[in-house]
Amino acid sequence: MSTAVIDEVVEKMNRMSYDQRNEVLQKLEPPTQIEKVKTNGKKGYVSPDTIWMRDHSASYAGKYVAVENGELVATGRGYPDTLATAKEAGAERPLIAYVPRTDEEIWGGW
Amino acid sequence: MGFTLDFEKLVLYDRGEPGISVGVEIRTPDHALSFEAKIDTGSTFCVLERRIGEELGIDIESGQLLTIRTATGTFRAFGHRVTLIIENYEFDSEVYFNENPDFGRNILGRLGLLDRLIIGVNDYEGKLYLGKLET
Repeated sequence: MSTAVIDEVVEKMNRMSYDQRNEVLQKLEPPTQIEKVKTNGKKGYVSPDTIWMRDHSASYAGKYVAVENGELVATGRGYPDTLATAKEAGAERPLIAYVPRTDEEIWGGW
Repeated sequence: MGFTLDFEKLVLYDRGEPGISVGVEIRTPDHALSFEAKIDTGSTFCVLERRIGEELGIDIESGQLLTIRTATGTFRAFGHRVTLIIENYEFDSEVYFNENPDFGRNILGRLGLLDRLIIGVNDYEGKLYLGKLET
């Protein structure tokens, strides 16, 4: 895609409201070409919940998710309600995690 | 008008050290280790040294890639499910391991830890109060 087209898209998105931007971001397809990652050379442990977060969490941006055994169990607005919903659904020890929006700045804090 | 919060635990920290440090145990199904980390309300996520993830046997780069901003630039980190234990509070959380092996800080941020605790700080006395959020 040319720089001009990208600039045009950015300009249009900059004129959108917060909700409109989120709507557009939700409709975007995930990138088909994933950056080739380096490994730590160990072929080490990876939780199935980590894999789910990596591969499927984008659809839940801005929400909390509960994931157990590599499957989505519940979603919510915060830790307590998401955990409660997951327990009601039968989860025992779900991962409760927030999925950041693509336009959200993630800070390291120092 | 006053406000009252109840805390279950009191942790004393050394005011002579930079930041507010607490002892943390981290677990995966087969490994566990302990380390010191600093509570940082300005950090969005919990960000740990790559070394810790590798010592736990985690394949770091298999996690969710995230670019994290700081006042001086950005760095990349990978999210993984682990169990964090702090003062006998246990949480199944996603923490991020820094891609850079030279990164030597362990930060306990909002998401993954502080979003499931209530904390109070009396820095003058080096006291950190902890309570678990009701679920």
